[in-house]
Amino acid sequence: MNCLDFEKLIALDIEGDLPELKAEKLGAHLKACRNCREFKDELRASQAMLKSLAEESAEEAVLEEVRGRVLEGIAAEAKPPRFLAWRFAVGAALVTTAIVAAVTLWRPRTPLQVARISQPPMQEHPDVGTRQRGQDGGATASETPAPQRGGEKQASPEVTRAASKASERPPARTEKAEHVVRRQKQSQAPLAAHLEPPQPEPLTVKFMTDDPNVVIYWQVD
Amino acid sequence: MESNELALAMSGSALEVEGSGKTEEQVLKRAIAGDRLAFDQIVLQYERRVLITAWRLLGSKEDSQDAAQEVFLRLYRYLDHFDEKRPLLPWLYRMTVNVCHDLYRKRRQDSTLAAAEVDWTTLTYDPGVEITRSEQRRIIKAAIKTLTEKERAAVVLRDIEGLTTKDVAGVLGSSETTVRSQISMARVKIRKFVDRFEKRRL
Repeated sequence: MNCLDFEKLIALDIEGDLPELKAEKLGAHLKACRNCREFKDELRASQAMLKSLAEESAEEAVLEEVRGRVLEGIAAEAKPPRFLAWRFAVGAALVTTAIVAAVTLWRPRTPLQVARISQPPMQEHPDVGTRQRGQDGGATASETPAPQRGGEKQASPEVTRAASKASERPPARTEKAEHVVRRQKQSQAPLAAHLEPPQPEPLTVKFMTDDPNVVIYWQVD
Repeated sequence: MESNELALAMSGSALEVEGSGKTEEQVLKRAIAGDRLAFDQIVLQYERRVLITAWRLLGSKEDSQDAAQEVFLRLYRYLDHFDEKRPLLPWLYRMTVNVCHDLYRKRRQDSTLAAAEVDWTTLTYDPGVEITRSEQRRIIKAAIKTLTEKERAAVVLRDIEGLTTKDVAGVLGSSETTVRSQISMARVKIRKFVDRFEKRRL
C-alpha cells in the first residue's frame, strides 16, 4: 500500500469508521510517514469545517413557506379517509366480478340464422338481372334459384348480406332470436315493372328478443 | 434533535412528537387513519430536518423548498402503506435523497458547481486575516458540490446529519462497505478542495 491508499484509510479512521484490523495497520504506517500524519491533521481541520454545517438551520419564514405549500398540495389532493377508500375498493371489486361473470356465463341458446323471406314469386325485370349479375359475380336472372316450395324463396344476396351484417353486430338480448326479413309490398302492376326499372327495394330486418317489449327493426336500402 | 435522540428515531423507539404529548407511533397511526391534525404534527416535527438535508444535497434554497414540499406530499400519498410501528425518519431521509436525486437530474446543468466555477473572488485572500466561519462554510459547501451524488449523500448523512454508517447504508440502500468507500472518497476530496483554496491565499 502507498500513501494514497493510506489517505483513504485515514479518512475513515478520523471519524472512527475504520475496522480495528485496518486501524492497527494504519497506525503503524503513520508512525513512519510524516506526510500522512500531516494529511491526518489537515483532514481533521476540514472535517471540523464540514461538521460546522450542522449548526446551520433554516429560517422560520422558509419553513413556514414550505409548510404552506405542503398543506396547499394536500388540500388539492384531498382524499377520503381510509375506511371510505376500502368501501370503494370492495364495491368496485364486486361490480367487476359481476360483469366478468355475466360475460363469461352468457351464451345465446339459438344460433343466429339467416332469414328466409316469405314473398310471392315475382317476375324479374331484365335490368334487375343485369344489376344482380354485376353485384353477384355473374349470376343471371335465369340462374336465380327457383322459388322454394310453399312460395318461399332463398334470401337474395342483398338480403343475405344485410342479414350477415346484422349478425356481425353484438348479439345483445337476442336469445331465441328470430329474424324476419320482409320485402315491402311490391307493386302488383307488371306493366309498370316493364316500363321503368325497379327502384332498389328497402329491406326491413326485425329482431325478436326475449323481452317482448324490445323489438329491433333495421332498415336497409 | 440530539444525536442520541436521532439514534432513537432511527431505531424506531418511542419518541415524543414535539408539543403533541404523544409518541411518533401514536401520531402516525392517527395520520394513517386520516387525521389531518396528526399529519400536520408530523410535518412540523420533521420539516426542518428534511429541508436542511435537501439544502445540503442540492445546494440551492429554492430547490430544497421544492424538494421538501415533494417529500411531504409523497408521505401523505403513501400514508396508507405505512406501518406505524416502523420509524418514520429513515423513510423521510430516503425520500429526501430520492427527490433530490430527481431534482438534481432535472437541473443538473445549473446545480453542478465544478471547482473552477467557485467564486473565489468573494473570499478573503489576505493571509494575515483569518477567514471567517461563514467563509469556511462557503468553501465547504462549494467542496460538497464537487462530489458525486452518491458521495454527497453519504457524507451529508454521515458527517452532517450524524447518522451511523449502518443507518446511512439503510437509507441509501447500499452496503456498509460501499458507504464507507463513498464517505472516504468524499472526505479526501473535500480536504483537497480546501487545500487548493488555502494555497491560493498564500
